[in-house]
Amino acid sequence: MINRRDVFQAIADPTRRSILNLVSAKGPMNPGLIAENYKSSRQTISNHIRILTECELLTFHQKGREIMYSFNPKKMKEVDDYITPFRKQWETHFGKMDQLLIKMKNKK
Amino acid sequence: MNTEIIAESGNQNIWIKRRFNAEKQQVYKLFTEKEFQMQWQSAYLTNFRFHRFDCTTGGSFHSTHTGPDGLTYGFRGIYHELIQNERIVKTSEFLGLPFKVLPTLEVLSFEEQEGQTFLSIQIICDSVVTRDAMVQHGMQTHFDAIFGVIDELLRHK
Repeated sequence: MINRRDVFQAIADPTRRSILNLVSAKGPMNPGLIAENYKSSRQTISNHIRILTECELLTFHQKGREIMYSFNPKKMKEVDDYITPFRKQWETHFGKMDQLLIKMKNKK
Repeated sequence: MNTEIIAESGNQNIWIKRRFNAEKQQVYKLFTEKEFQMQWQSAYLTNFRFHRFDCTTGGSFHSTHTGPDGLTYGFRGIYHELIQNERIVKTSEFLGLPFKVLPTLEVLSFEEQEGQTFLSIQIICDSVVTRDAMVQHGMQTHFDAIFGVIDELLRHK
């Protein structure tokens, strides 16, 4: 876990989130086109792209001489788990409440 | 029964929504009577206990439980307003973190719909950061898509 780049670490940065939004909206893009949307240097943007690629939120393929980056929705599913512990807590509470309500009804 | 949990991007609310096969008087009791609350809180929180429980308008509560890390955590807050079988407005401060967090404001609404009770809990945090910390420590994302809700069917008897 430690040596793998964490998907949450990747999306903690606003520029990286913005890149994901951009690529998911516009489809496969080359790094130059992505960088055109930002004030930061191309070097900074390619660094962000590298991080996003390392944690598989972006995938790439070669198209002629260009490398095209695409958004990887499958990886985003992992982020979906973000809310899971909180959900689990409330579902446990509610499950217990259902039982209590049945008991209350039977007592009537 | 579906539990709906929504943490929208662009604001610091959490919404928890759930239907119960019961009258709202009964569902309201689950949240206002100590014995019932003890039971459902204990279903998830280890060593849950109340040190204070005065569920009246202006009353307060203080509870503790043991976290997965073995440390003691807790909640304390004030019941700002209780409208019987309709609404509970309370504050809640999470205790036991190394830093101070402001309490959340929580509005619980009970609504009867065709023999069922629709419960909505709105949790208002002081910031998106607190909100996200509440949902899960340190993990922040602002994607509408992932905050969109996935309903799972609860084991229902």
